[in-house]
Amino acid sequence: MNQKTQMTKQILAESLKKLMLHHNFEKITIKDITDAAGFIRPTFYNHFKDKYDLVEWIFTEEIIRPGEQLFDVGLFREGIRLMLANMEKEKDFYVRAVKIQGQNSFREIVFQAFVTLIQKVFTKHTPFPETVPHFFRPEILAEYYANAETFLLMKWLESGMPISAEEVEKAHWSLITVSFEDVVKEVSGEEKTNR
Amino acid sequence: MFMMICVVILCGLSLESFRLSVAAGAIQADLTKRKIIWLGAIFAVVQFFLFFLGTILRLKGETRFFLLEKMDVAIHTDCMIFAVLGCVYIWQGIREKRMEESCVHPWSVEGFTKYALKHGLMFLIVGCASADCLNRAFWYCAEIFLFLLVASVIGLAYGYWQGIKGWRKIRVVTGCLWVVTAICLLLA
Repeated sequence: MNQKTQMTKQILAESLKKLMLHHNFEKITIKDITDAAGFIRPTFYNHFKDKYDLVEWIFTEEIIRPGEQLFDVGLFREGIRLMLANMEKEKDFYVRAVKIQGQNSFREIVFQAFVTLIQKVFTKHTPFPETVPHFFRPEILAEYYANAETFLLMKWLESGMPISAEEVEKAHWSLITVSFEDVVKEVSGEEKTNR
Repeated sequence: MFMMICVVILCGLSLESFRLSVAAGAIQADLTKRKIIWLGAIFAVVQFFLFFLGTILRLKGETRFFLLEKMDVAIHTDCMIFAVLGCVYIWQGIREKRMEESCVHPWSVEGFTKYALKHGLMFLIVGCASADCLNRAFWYCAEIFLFLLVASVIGLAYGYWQGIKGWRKIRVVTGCLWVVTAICLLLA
């Protein structure tokens, strides 16, 4: 991508982040974003469709893209860890972004980004035969895991990131690697111990 | 009083045209000066056509239903239409949600005409309700077209450079103007 274009997008992203610290996302206009970035309003539409598109770009560039590079070389756990750490660094922005509701909600942006990422991982690392059962098709699996990832992430963000990214990553890893049976056993075991 | 009604109607129509074109301009990418004038002209032509259509329909209706003989009934009907229109506009202006600025692919002439038609119901209603008080003056029709054209062009340019601002306020002011028209008609 053209370096100048990337730079402009980055400046617009920073401008939105600054504005979100003091204003409600719904009340921020494109003119506010471009004014704070030092551009004229029409510049915005040369790069983004709307402010939701800008939020999606920020999430993809800051969170998904760095994780994807690690996913590509098979370092899944490290990829997730990096994503969560990057989110923690930009806590102020993401805690506010999670409040974006409606058709272009932040949840939808996160979900779609994860679906694309996980589907890429599946198609790259796993050769799916034609006869694969319906529920094991890459697109179905991608949606399944994206829902889980999104749920966990949203819970963390909605509660205002009370625990560290490291703790979230540990919990996440346990949840996706330990079977349901083991979770039940672990929980009931803990309960017995508590009693 | 007649002059005042004419001025208020002219202001109301221009404000509505301005409001709609601001919204249209705010979601356009790559608008050149030439395109702004061209699209503004389409906007004005469609709105004026609807206004004129409303007037024609009303005059035809008056002849058909012998309303010309019952002028006070006609005036009271106009009054009612303007009052309802005004209240609807004020209500919508207060209740309306903030409009999202989302870029659309550059509109074709057809797309823009459809947009103008879709949002042009008010022009038809005002045309219908103001047929009697306009006294069928040609100069006034020309003036309306000119004002619509100027308002559309300025609105498009303003929306493109400044975005949607005061969208709801303009709607409330337009509503107030229709209420004023209703009162003026009643007094006249």
